[in-house]
Amino acid sequence: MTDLSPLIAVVDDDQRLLESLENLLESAGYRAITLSRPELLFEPGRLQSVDCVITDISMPGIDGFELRDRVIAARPGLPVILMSGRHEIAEQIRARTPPEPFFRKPFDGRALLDTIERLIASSRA
Amino acid sequence: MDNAEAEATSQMAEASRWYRAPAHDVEVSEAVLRQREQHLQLLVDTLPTMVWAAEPTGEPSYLNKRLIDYVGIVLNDLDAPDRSRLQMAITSSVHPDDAAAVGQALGHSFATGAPFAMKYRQRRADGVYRWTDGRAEPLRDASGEIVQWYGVSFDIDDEVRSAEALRRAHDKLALSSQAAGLAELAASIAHEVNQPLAAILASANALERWLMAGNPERALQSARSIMRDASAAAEVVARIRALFKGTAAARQQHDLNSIVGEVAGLLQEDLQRWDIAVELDLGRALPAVTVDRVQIQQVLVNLLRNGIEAMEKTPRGRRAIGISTRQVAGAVEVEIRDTGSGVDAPERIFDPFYSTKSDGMGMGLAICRSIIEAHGGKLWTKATGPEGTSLVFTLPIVS
Ligand SMILES: Nc1ncnc2c1ncn2[C@@H]1O[C@H](COP(=O)(O)OP(=O)(O)OP(=O)(O)O)[C@@H](O)[C@H]1O
Ligand SMILES: [Mg+2]
Repeated sequence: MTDLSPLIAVVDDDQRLLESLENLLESAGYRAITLSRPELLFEPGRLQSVDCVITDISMPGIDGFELRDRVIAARPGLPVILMSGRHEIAEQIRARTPPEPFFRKPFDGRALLDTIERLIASSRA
Repeated sequence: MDNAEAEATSQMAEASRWYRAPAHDVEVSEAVLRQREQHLQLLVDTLPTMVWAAEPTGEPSYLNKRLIDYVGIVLNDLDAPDRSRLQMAITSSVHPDDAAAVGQALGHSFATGAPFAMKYRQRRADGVYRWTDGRAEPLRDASGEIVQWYGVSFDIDDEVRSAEALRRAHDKLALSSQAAGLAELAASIAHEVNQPLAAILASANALERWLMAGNPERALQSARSIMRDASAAAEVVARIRALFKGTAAARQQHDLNSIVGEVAGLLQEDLQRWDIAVELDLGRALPAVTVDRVQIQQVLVNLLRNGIEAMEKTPRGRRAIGISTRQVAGAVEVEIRDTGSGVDAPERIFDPFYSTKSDGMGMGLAICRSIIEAHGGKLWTKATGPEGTSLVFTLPIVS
């Protein structure tokens, strides 16, 4: 089954955004799973099957930062891309070094796809 | 000689250091000069304020009597083998928490020639620290070279304390929580709008890809998502509008002048801190207006904040805010003028999210306009240019 295209998990509490990102990812030839609650990512076996995680930051319960930390602890090297619609959060993150993959909503779909491709390639290298 | 006597003599000796005669005066006779010095000395010592002078390098060279009595330090006390008089003056008379900042600000002034102005806690002779407003300016000769620094300081402890009490009282008012809440409110509005926008943009990108891949079904599905999300965005906007429409129930008869007075009081500290002169010209016997008081306060706070922010680059001394109220046909008119930079794009400033400030949300004027229009009034830019800006709003008089 190694010829399957990469599987991307999208985590966001906004249903519209989940659908549109799923659509975008599929239009670029990826497979996508959409998760409306962060805990769903940690259901048995799920994390093992994905190649990249895209997550919103401000969510009830586990926020995006915590989610990223837990993903990295469970599967070091798995690419995690953060996104947020909040300008304040965007400023905080941009001030950080080293820079981490982050998109402020709204963002250019092409830029997101480029980042996914690059991160998956380097995680497999 | 007792201490006081010694000090008096040393002060006389210092007097010539305090007063630097301009060059064209040197021909005046010695006796006249001495008399003049004594006169000046008396004047400086009787001034109801603390005065000091310093060398161009910042080394204190003179303290007036009031200052000596207040801090309980004479110039000689500042002479130490290993430290400058300036360092000694700061460590012995400025509150430890403020000393570094004062030293830094003074150092900056002495290095660049920029005037010094700062509020800090100073140690009085009895050991009590009191808030002090300190200022210093350089005296320059004809060639622009600094010959002497002159400084004054005022004990403002009572004022600071009463201002603090006033501020605490203000904090309890709905107004300040509203004004502070504006930034958060704007942030969450931004988030709410960004959310559907992000979905729209992603779907539009997908739509393009599906079309190019020759998949009309998925393209159509993407188009439908775009339409759905665009109406969601429009709905957010409608919700915000409803939020600011205010309910008629909150409206009562108010005297506009007293609302203006409250807001001017609330911002007084900011205005003082930036050395902004306030000119109030309030029309007499204005008819009452039926308004939501908190919303009108919010409008005034926003307009004044913008005025204050526009004067950042206006030289101190030329910063002024004018607020006038007057009756016009069927309405009361409020005008707010500043001597700031002027508006770059007058046709855009009422647009939501239009801002030229690094930390601005650009919602201030958009919100002001919707509040005023919800009250049946109008808000517009009356004049703007390099001399400053004037914004006006009206509120109808209902009989
Ligand atoms: N009095 C003024 N003088 C000069 N420019 C002004 C003045 N008032 C508004 N502007 C311009 O209009 C823009 C929009 O003002 P607005 O109050 O809507 O937003 P803002 O002040 O930038 O941010 P905020 O949402 O925090 O109020 C400002 O960024 C500024 O460029
Ligand atoms: Mg503003």
